[in-house]
Amino acid sequence: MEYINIILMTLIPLFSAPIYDSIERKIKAAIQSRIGPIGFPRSFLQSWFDIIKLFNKELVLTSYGVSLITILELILILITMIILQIALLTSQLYWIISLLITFLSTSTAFSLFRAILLDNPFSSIGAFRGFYITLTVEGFFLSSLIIMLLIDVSIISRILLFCVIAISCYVVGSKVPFDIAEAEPEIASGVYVELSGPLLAIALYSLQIKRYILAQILSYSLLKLINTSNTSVTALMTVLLTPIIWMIFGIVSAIFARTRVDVGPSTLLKVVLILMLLIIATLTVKVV
Amino acid sequence: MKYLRLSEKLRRIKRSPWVFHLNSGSCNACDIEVLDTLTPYFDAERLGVKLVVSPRHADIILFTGPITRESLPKVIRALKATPRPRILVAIGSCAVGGGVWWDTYSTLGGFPKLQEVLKQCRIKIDKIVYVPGCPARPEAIIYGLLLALGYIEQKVSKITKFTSQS
Repeated sequence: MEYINIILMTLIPLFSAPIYDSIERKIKAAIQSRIGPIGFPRSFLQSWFDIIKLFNKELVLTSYGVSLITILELILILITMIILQIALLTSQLYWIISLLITFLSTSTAFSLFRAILLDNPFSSIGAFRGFYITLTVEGFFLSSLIIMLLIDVSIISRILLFCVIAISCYVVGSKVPFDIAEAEPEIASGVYVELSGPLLAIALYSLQIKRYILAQILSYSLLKLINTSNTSVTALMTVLLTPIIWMIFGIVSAIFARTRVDVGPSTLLKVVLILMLLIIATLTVKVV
Repeated sequence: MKYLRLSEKLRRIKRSPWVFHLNSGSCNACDIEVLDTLTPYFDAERLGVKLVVSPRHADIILFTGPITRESLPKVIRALKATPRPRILVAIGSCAVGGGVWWDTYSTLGGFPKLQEVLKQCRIKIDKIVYVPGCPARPEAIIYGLLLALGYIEQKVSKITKFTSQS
């Protein structure tokens, strides 16, 4: 029965991630006083249409290494997703959490390596900005996740840890203003600037799956915050909470759309540092 | 994909047309109208239209300007970087036929003359739609996009023969 649950939980993100992305586009359009993709199929399947179209476009390849890394990135993200589903259904296995964190950080590293490898200055600028943002949050994100999931801490510490995880999930998911490089239109697509056709489709699909994983991690952390112990209920609640968190992220990104992209990373570092100092202080007080 | 007919290729792009704005030295009036087309008032995203910033991601090129000699190499590179099928919508009098710059020394004089250069460079444009106007109105640009994607049929024939009544 558990195997069936794991397969079902793995298949849901594969189909639903682009659908959630399409609904997010519709919500963003509503916030910006627009209609957005019109009609029933477009409202829910626009991102699927984009991916299918890109798979049918011509591939303009600049280097074979890039295509290999893009495919590897997708594979790594899929492995991360499967491990996350196993972790949700068998939360007593602690080594699964460490495996999840390893694959999560490796898949992020691969997406940055791809951008560095491309012989395009715009892509490199986007990659270096990605490196800066990743270095700012990745360490704090992963350590907060480990403490939250594996160590029994006070409720104040858990709330602070949840805040760090929420901010990190938003940032690592490449939402505005942490998605684009500086303010020049030419480099706005940053790390994706040289990709075309099927490779771009794979890269975008990977990003959508990654966003699903991050929303699922955040919903799992939320359930940990309120101390839900039943494993099957947690798994079901996570599946239901994930689209809600995705849409909340979409609303936040629509509100942050006009913020300055150059100030974003430095403000992020300050906020995360303050939160981490508070977490350390609350943990130290408990130990004393 | 290579052996599919153009209508079949267009059918796949129809649901998700991504546009790239290519300025070849226009006065910016048409460019403002192109941006206006993509803003909330006209909301081209209703049709799935998305503005992309790299020609590698584009399905349709929104082309403006009379092609200045300075911009010519960049225009050729941008069109070459676009994956096929390449659809081009020439917007405004300058892009359609050069406008007031049709015979100046510093411009090529509209897209038909650029096409001769593209033929020499072996760059094939699969479908071209002309949207005249100085500047072309956003409604006309959306109409041109719909025409390019095959949502609507062209009302007039491509070549009109004028015959004298007398």
